[in-house]
Amino acid sequence: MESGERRRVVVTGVGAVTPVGSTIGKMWAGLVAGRSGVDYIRLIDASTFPTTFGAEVRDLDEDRLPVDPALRIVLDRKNLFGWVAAADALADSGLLADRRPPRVGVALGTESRRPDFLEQLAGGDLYAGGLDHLRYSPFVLAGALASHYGLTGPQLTVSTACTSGTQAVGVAFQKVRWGLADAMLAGGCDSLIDPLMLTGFSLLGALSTRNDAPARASRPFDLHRDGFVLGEGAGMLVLESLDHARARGARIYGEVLGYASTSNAYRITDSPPDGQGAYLSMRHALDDAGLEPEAIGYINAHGTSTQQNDKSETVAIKRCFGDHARHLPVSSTKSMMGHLVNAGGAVELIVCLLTIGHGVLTPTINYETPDPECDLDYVPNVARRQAVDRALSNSFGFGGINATVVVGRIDPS
Amino acid sequence: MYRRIMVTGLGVVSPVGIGADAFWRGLTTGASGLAPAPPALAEVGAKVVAAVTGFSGATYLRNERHARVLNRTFELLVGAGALAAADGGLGPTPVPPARLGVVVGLGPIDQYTEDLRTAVRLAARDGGFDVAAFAEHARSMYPLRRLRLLPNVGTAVLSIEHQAMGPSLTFVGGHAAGLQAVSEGMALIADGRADAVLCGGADARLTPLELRVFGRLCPLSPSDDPARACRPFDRSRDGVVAGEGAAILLLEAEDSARARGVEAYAELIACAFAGPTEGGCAESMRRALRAAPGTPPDVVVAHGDGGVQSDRLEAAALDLVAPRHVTTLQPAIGHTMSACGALNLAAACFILADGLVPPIRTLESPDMPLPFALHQVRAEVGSVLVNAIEPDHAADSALLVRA
Repeated sequence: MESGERRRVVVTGVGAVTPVGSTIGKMWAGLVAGRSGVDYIRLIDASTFPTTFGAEVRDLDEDRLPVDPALRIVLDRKNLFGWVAAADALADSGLLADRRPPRVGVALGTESRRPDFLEQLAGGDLYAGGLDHLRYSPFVLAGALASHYGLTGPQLTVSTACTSGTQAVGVAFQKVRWGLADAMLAGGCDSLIDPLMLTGFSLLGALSTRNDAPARASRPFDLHRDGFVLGEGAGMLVLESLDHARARGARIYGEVLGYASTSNAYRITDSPPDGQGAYLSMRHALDDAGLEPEAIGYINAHGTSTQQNDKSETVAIKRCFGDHARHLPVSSTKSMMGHLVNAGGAVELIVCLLTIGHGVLTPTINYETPDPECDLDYVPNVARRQAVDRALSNSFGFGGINATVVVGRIDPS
Repeated sequence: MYRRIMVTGLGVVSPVGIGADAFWRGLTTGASGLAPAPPALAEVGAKVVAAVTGFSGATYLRNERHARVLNRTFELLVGAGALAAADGGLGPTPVPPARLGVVVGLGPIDQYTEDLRTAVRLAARDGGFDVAAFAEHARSMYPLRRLRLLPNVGTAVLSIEHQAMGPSLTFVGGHAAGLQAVSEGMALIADGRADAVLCGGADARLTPLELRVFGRLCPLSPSDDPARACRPFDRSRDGVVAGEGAAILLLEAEDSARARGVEAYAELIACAFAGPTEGGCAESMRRALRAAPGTPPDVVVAHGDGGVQSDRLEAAALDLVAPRHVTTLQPAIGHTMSACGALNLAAACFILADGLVPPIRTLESPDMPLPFALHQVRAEVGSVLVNAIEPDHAADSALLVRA
């Protein structure tokens, strides 16, 4: 590690493509309205799969996709979402327009699978020459963005499934904090509405099978939750030092105050009932931010709508926040847009920043029957006007990996 | 708080040996892991490869149930991880679980497993693909297949096996991911987030599909002679030889190592990165060397992959940093992709500890006037710089000094 002075890190640009809206504005309006983006799957004929619904991106305009024909071949659906969200975030920040800093890097959360290769596989040969050597690469988006925007800083591809987006932001935060990069484009992208993911997660018994009522299927913390809902989309953020942002007069969404990750070291598929790893992840992120639990005004939960996650996350929050947990609103964005897996943490962190900016808590929808073991304030069903200075976002992944980011208003009153 | 960061354990799974000592013995006794490739790989242009042989990752597991989620990459990873943990004495003198992290850089996991190929083949219809038929056949696929294909599950197995409850992170990358992981491990310790981190890389891409992809990025040697296919920095070099392997380092804060009473191989004083420009390697080395201003490195373990272009660019960069000795491991173990930087670091630890520079055994007529190790060199070594370079010339470097 090349060392430098510790710097304050802020978010100056955001971009998102999600099932409840493919721009930041549309997404926020949808979340505040408590609208579900979950429906029967249209991208493929899913009628014969155990789960027939998901949360699809349906309003992305063609003219926002890259114009370069090579990129349209090389980037698959998830990477196109990532491309659009990155373009939005960079444009939003104005980072590259004026006083461009020399070392801008990229940290992305994504995965190597290519569902669009199934057709090719059926035809016999996966590798058909042409640009296939790029299409197959999991880090193609980081490289494409770096090359298109001339970003010469660190280029990192994180691949930790449900925690990818959060960890990509965490890694980027560290790079900017310690002066290893002047600014970072960070986030994640994913698309899970395909035969491979429907199969893979169904085999694990992780998906909701509420096939008669898709929009009501993702119900985090509700007693009758029965699994998560596959989604798709991307979330991207521009992180830079506070000094740099102020010097160029950038709009600041908020400060990244702390980050931590931990491992349960327990089991591959189960989380420990005492929520130990998740608890330590939140605790360490607070320590990293130099904050007491009482300083947090909102938690964007991992809240997947599986029996196990929602219970153990609740236990962990209570352990970390003690009495304050009873006054602390906790909501799950996944109730509306399903699980964006590699993109989820980045989108949910953006939701935290918008919550701080707008003073509105987005709800957990489909919350009908309280679960005695999940007894926090989940902001049920309707948005709530409430000022928030600091928020915390959790992501927990298969294998027992936990990651937490804390963000806050710049110099809160 | 400033903390010295030491290497206190090494775990290596390589084409010249399993275990750090066997790896080093292989490098210093002229062993070669290069061999004629099986027909399926030769068909796609990889006539010689460096495979890990006689190895089963499952035998390194404490909990045999974890074997259910292993793929080839994870096998190499858990083997190297277990060896590093044992070498670093984590069994008898553990690091507190919450203070032990795991950060790894892996090559892409092969998603197109046999069960998937079968389900797809059965669902093939008129050159296309019938989704409904696939759904039917997919019901009998391996239930845990999704977990086996998630990169972070390999990292998680290491965490569970070695009770590492500290930070966890998985990079998937081209050829620098292993060094990126070490760099991140170093940052975690320097930042006080962990006292020790199992970090490094694992890569197992010796499949027809992956080697076709790799060959497009790093042109493969057309030679079918294992003794001549990989000739880094030689005038007659003609391409790269693909390999596989894994190296995990136990990086540890000096205070923690002292408290546990373990010896260190070396001290890691810098990791640095440079973006994808032709001068990337020069810049990453220059940045790493800032940690030891004014002193050229005694030894560079170069990326040196035998590529016509890549060697030329790296040699030009090496010329600028003026090392006393230059070597590369690739004639012995091939291009181990995401693992190469971590394997280079493992060798660097022994070079420092033993004062011995392993030779570039296939180098006969150097193409550049650099102090290449044509024969094994015995030397007083105080510092070793290692490189890992991507096909687009982005580069990572790391600098080790004597403990």
